Amino acid sequence: MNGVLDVVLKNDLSEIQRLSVLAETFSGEQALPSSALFDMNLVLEEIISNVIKYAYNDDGAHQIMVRLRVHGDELSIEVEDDGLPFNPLEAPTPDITQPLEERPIGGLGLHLVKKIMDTIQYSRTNGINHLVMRKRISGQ
Amino acid sequence: MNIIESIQDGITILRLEGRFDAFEAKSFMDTIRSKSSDLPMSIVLDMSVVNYLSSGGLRAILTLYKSQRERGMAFALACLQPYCGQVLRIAGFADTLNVFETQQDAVAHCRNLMHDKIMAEQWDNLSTYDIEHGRVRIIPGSDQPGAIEVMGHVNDVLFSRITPAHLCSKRFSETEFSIGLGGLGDRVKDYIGIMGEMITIGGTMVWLPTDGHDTPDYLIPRADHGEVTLRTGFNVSVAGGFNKFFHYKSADAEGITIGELYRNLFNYARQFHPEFKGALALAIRAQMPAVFGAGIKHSPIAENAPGDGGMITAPQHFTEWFESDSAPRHENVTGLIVGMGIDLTGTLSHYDEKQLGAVFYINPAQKQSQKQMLHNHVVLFNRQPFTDHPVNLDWEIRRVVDDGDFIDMRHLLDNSRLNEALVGVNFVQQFRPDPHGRQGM
Repeated sequence: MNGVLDVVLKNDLSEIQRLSVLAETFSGEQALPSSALFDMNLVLEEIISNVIKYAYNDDGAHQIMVRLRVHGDELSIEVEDDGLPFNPLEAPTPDITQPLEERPIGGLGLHLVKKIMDTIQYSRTNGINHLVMRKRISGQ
Repeated sequence: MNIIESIQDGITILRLEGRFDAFEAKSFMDTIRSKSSDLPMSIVLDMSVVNYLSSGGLRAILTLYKSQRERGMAFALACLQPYCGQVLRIAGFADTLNVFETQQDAVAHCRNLMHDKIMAEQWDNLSTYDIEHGRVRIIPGSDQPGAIEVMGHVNDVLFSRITPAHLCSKRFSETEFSIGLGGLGDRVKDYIGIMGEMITIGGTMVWLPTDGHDTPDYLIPRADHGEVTLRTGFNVSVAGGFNKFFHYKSADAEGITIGELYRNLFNYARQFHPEFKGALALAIRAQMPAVFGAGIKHSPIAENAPGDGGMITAPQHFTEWFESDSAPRHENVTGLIVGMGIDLTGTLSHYDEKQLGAVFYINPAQKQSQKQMLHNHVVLFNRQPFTDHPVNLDWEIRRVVDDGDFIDMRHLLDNSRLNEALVGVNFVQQFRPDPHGRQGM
């Protein structure tokens, strides 16, 4: 399996739905197991919605670049945005052992991403956040 | 995502269809808010056709969980697809939220919780019955006919003739109440020679290995979801739930003995329960001012059998085989007890003689001199307080297991005392073979 899908998104939450449809088609073309599609959709939703909600301190239009790549048994998801610098690796880890009734409502999305993906790399160059997440695709 | 609403037994069931992501979560919460004043109190989310769950959906679930909790109402999830179940586990929600495999189980759970809520509210109006040193408050329970399920035969223990061929493996769940003789281990040779008294209660398995150290082995496999297998040569479990619950509170610190408790319950059953056939199976969460314990000292396997072919309980073998307390081993502790007893003043003729005989060794002389015959095991913790209106035995037991410091496990002697207890009573209709065990390893 080898394939690449590049998508350019606007900073609008409705774009996530469009992206998930494209990801599903890509997943079908690449014959990915359904678990990989679930993981991909979840990671994309968590990362992109974070960017759209928190990365921009203006009301302007921005572009977010997404690249999905399958190479052998590895899935990689790359996201680039021109928002405020934000390194998800430095985001605080929620205490998931805390009783549910005391848990804050937010903060779970990045935790899910970190648990699901095998590796996450973050860099910031020329005002661009660049995130690369990789996961080995297991069988059905 | 579509939300299809229905009501069953006063419980609102919301069947969700589609993706439960951040976008859908918002409209889900709007729907909940617009309905919350009309909705009956408890909510079951049927997730059987939810094929995607993200942190947005988790946030909505958490918000609903918190608001239901604040309102004192039940909340459960049902029929999660594997992927959604995995997301719940990664987020650390799975152990706290009530998640059920079927919608029916989730509704039953909510109904029971609401039953408990009503009982707690009606606490002062519940009917009472006076017994020695105090009074019991009576809480209705299950309509299911009770039973005792037996694996193996008590005589194989009493004559010390267990061989590898007698051994059974049994998985156990959080709701398993059983006592017997057994152990834990992968290979027969690891445990057959050190099997001892055992009990399962509140999702724990505790056994007292007969390896000479007199130290119980304590295991909570709750997180393993029934993956742990116990090994047993003789195991007796309570089936069909509990038909009534009795909250006993003594008027004095001394309380009553286990023997007196059974005698009073036999009297009550004879008086008020026509279906009573002479046997009761109990699970008890108790405050115990004095605990007298006993324990078998050797694994009752064929190679350890007494040379004269007698029973290990015979006077000439008793001291060699049993440790038995003449002074309290523990004082002012909390005990979780599983036990069963037969009323020897009646005929017991309703029961299958062979199956009854597999659980209780009754000899005719004993029947004349004794009024009752009991078999109880206990797990002990440092003293844990009861809730104000203890109406839910499973919950009370779970609190003790979660919050208490484990102290000991013993076969419980009838002169042990308790001064407050929540007692689940199963009016045993039948003794039957346990269908859940697997012969051999």
